[in-house]
Amino acid sequence: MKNNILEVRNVTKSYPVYSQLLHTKITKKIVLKNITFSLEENTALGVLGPSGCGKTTLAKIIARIEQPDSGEVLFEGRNIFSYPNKTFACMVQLLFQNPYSMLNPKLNIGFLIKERVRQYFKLNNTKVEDSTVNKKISELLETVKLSPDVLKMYPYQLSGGQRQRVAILLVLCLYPKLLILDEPLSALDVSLQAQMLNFFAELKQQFKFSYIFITHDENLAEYFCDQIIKIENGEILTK
Amino acid sequence: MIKLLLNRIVVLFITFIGITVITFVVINISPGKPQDMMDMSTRISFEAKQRLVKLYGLDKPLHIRYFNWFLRVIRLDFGTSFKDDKPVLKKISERLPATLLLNILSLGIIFFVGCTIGILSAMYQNKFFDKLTTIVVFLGYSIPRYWLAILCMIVFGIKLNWLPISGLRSVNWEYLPFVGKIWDILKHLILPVAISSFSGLAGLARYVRGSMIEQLNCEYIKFALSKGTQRKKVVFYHAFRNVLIPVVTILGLSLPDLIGGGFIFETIFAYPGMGRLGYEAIMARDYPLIMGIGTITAALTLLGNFIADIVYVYVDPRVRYK
Ligand SMILES: Nc1ncnc2c1ncn2[C@@H]1O[C@H](COP(=O)(O)OP(=O)(O)O)[C@@H](O)[C@H]1O
Ligand SMILES: [Mg+2]
Repeated sequence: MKNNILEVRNVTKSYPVYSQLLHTKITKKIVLKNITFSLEENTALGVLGPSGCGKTTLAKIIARIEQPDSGEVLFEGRNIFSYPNKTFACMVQLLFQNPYSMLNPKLNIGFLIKERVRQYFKLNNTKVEDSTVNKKISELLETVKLSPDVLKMYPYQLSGGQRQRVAILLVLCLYPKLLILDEPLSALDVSLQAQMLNFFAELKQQFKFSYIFITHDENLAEYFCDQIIKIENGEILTK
Repeated sequence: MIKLLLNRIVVLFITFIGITVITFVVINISPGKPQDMMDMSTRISFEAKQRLVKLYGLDKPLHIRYFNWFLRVIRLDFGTSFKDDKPVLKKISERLPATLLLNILSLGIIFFVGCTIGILSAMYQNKFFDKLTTIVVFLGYSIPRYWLAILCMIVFGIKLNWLPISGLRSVNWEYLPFVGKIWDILKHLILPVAISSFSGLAGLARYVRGSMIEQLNCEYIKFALSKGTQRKKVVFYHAFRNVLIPVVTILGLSLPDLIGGGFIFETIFAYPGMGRLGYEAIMARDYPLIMGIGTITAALTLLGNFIADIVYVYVDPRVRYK
């Protein structure tokens, strides 16, 4: 039996709802109710559910971007909030639903990539020269099938597919143990979806991470994942 | 990029001409004539008066006078002051450094202190520091500068006797050692600089706070944080860099306010700058001097905005490539 890499226990999350007139908090909207599941090492878990059911919220909680109201998330047996930032960065990375929103609009792609690749070496306590960083960058560009021309460009100059690949490169380059893909195909044209799906399948072959694959498409989840959970109205339906 | 610059320069030039025309017309239609002052002055002889009236063609129609004035200005000849016959350019260049010193220091303080307060209150939103600065900032907004100037002069200058309240140098400045000279000027600058930057600083701090909060809520900031770096690094490299772009524009736009406010502000502090010279010139209907100061002020303001434009183009990639 494999070890559980991730355990989500009784996670509940609500967002405040404000009145329009005075912007005072009037009620809260419960988005996730008592979510409990676990994920084994080196498996791909599909999270299925209609749009608005709280999938992104769940992903953000696991990636420590949002805090749950109650319940806890354990990574390798410890509460995720007990890890220092640096340690956690190599554990869980989230590919946001909208890859464009991950890229600082005023910085060029080269800067964004270099920043992360440097951080990768720093997190592994290795002092490196610029040439090593550059070598690593070209290696990563090859992995995500991007030409080095993008380095000089700004996020708004890229196509949807290129943005997606840049975003993947950025989460990939820290080699997380768990990679969460939040509807990775939804921001793409239909013509690109098949191509990117193959790409993700290759990625899964190449990098033996654990994956959480969030989607609203049952066929996709079955194609990509070893296990599937379904969420509806913030609750888990079936496993 | 070059096309963009050329475009800006042409617009700048047209604006400049527009400003000088308006200044010229407004001064000439305002009541009171320069001759009135000259009649009261015994230092100017009748011949000099005649020569001046003729030189400036005070009897000729307005548009011809403007045109003549413009032709001379192109050759950097601003004429001589009606009051004491000194070249306008010389009078201005004596006063310009003090004004530049005051305004550059004020702008610098507005920029650094305003941004620092804005960033910190955004980072610690709704904490004690944020609430405190919010109060101070709203005071800065609502208190008129001139009233605050007089209040501070009374408190720090007269009651506490900590700071000098007028001029730029003490009477015994000449005899001070070098360090003493600098310290003396600094002491004279504290009140004018502090007060002239206060309201601008308040506005900027408020603006930076709002924009920073907006930036910090963006997903790319959350993503940048997920790589495990310190929050302050991300705040600075990612969020503040983006806030900096409009800040540069705002600073450029606050320049006319600073320089224009200087006319009354410098007079209150008896500050030996161009503003006070301008105030005196207006009171004396000293046309050449008023026009000279108006022109230099307009040129400085436009230059400031031009620099802001260039910096803007430099920091915003989307402008740069279009
Ligand atoms: N920051 C937020 N503030 C308030 N409500 C939110 C916020 N983020 C998401 N929601 C709400 O929570 C619900 C679930 O959103 P989300 O997790 O994005 O769903 P999904 O990813 O499954 O489409 C939605 O109804 C959405 O309106
Ligand atoms: Mg979603």
